[in-house]
Amino acid sequence: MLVGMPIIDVRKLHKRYGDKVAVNDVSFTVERGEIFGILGPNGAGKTTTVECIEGLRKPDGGDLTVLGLDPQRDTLELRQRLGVQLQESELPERIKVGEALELYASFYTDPADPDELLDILGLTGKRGTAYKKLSGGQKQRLSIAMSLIGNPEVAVLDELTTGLDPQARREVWSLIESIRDRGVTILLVTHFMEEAERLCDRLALIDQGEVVAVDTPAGLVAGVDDEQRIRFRPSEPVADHLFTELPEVRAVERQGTRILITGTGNVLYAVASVLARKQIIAKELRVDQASLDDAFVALTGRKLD
Amino acid sequence: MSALRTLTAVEAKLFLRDPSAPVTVLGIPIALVVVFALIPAASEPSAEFGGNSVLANLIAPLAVSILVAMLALTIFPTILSTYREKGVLRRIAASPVPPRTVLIAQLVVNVASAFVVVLLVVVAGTLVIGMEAPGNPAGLALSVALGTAALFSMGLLVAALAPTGRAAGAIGSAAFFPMLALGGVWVPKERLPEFLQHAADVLPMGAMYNAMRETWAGAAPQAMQLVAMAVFTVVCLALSARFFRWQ
Repeated sequence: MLVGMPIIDVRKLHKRYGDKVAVNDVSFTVERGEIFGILGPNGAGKTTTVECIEGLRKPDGGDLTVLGLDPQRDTLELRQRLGVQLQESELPERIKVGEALELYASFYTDPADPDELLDILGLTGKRGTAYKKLSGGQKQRLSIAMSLIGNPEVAVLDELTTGLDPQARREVWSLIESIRDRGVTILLVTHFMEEAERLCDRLALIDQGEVVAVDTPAGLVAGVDDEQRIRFRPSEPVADHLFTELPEVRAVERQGTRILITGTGNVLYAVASVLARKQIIAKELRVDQASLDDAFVALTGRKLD
Repeated sequence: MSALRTLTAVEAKLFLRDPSAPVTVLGIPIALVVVFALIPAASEPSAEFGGNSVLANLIAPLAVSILVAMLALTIFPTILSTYREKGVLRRIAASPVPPRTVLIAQLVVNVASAFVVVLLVVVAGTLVIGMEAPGNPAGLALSVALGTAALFSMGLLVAALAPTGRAAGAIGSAAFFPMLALGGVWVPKERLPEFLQHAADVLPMGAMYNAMRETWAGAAPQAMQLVAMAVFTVVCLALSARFFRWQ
């Protein structure tokens, strides 16, 4: 493979179901070693897009290569090198964890060691447990293990933390980071803003079958609106003009005994300097920054969920 | 090939791990044959059945037909449709192994179970219980093989049409019970009204059952029965190929 060639290259991908356009000219590239996220509300066309990448669906138009291969033409070679975690796909209820991994290991020419994967995913104690007896988090970890059993170069993970409690979700996130550190390129589909912000190096925001923006999480947020809101209760009375004369401050508002300051750039530092100079303590301090949610609303006019 | 072998071994383990399937497969034919073997009159040669006993002429073919039909029409399609419904087939489709391998593995496991039933009824029935051996073993084997093919093709069609595992079980049973009645399995076909006797030789379960009765008694299977089973196989396979969905 050529150096610098993208791992996944999607150009003007188009997919229709009957009259309904599910994916409309979607384009993005995923580079080697990154965690690339596809973020969008339910029904935005995220899953259809990755199913075309996985070769499970045939696109109606556009160009698509994964590891330099055509998912429709070079399906078998691609399957050897691409790991997949599917949304809502189960295993037979009586199959044991170890059996499932060994079965799938036998499908690949150069599989990972099932025991090592079980260990990494914290499932060693569940080796002999039937699939139906696993908790939601354990099932999810098993499906991640299955996506890695073929020692893939790329893993496509679709809604991997849906249905998990916050604790399990954080564990899975650390796991994904450690997998990337092992050199696997990861394409992550999610509708969780927090997940995308925490994990992804770059993101494609998708809405109604179209790519709205592709950037780093920070870039997406900064590109929309870098307004910050600072709210606190001063320990001593303080005059508004001390803040309004700061170039970073846009507005000052009184809310009972609290002050709400909105501003841009280094506004927090500027406000803190004023308070320090006057020896005023900011009690109950809260700072709100724009999030990916806000970025999504600004770009599409709609909320994520 | 090795993926098919591994998958078949795993599917066989899962089949045996589900307590209901082995109990049904082994229990029903053993119970039928043993219960009737305990009735002295059932083992005596009967003029009505051309010198055959009730056991060899009715009960043994009945045990085999019912079991093969149950495996083919309810157990096999329920597993396949459940696999489709739960995304098991889709998961395989995303691996280097094509999902049809799962279908073939399931078919191997179920047909092997059917073979065990036949062996059990014929071999144990004649050697242990002392039932008359089949008079036309080649004809019997042909009848069983064609009947098995016809019934499993129907089962495949059920799996193709049923959206869920539960629906597959329901459709399979809806096909099974009328065939039981119309095939002359509940009531021997010679006691059915004349217009139904043709149905008994055409519907796959009846065709298999009646061809087994003929061949056990030493006669040749009727051409109508063999042709009917072959036609059912071809038609159901063609329809399944047209309608089967992997996801």
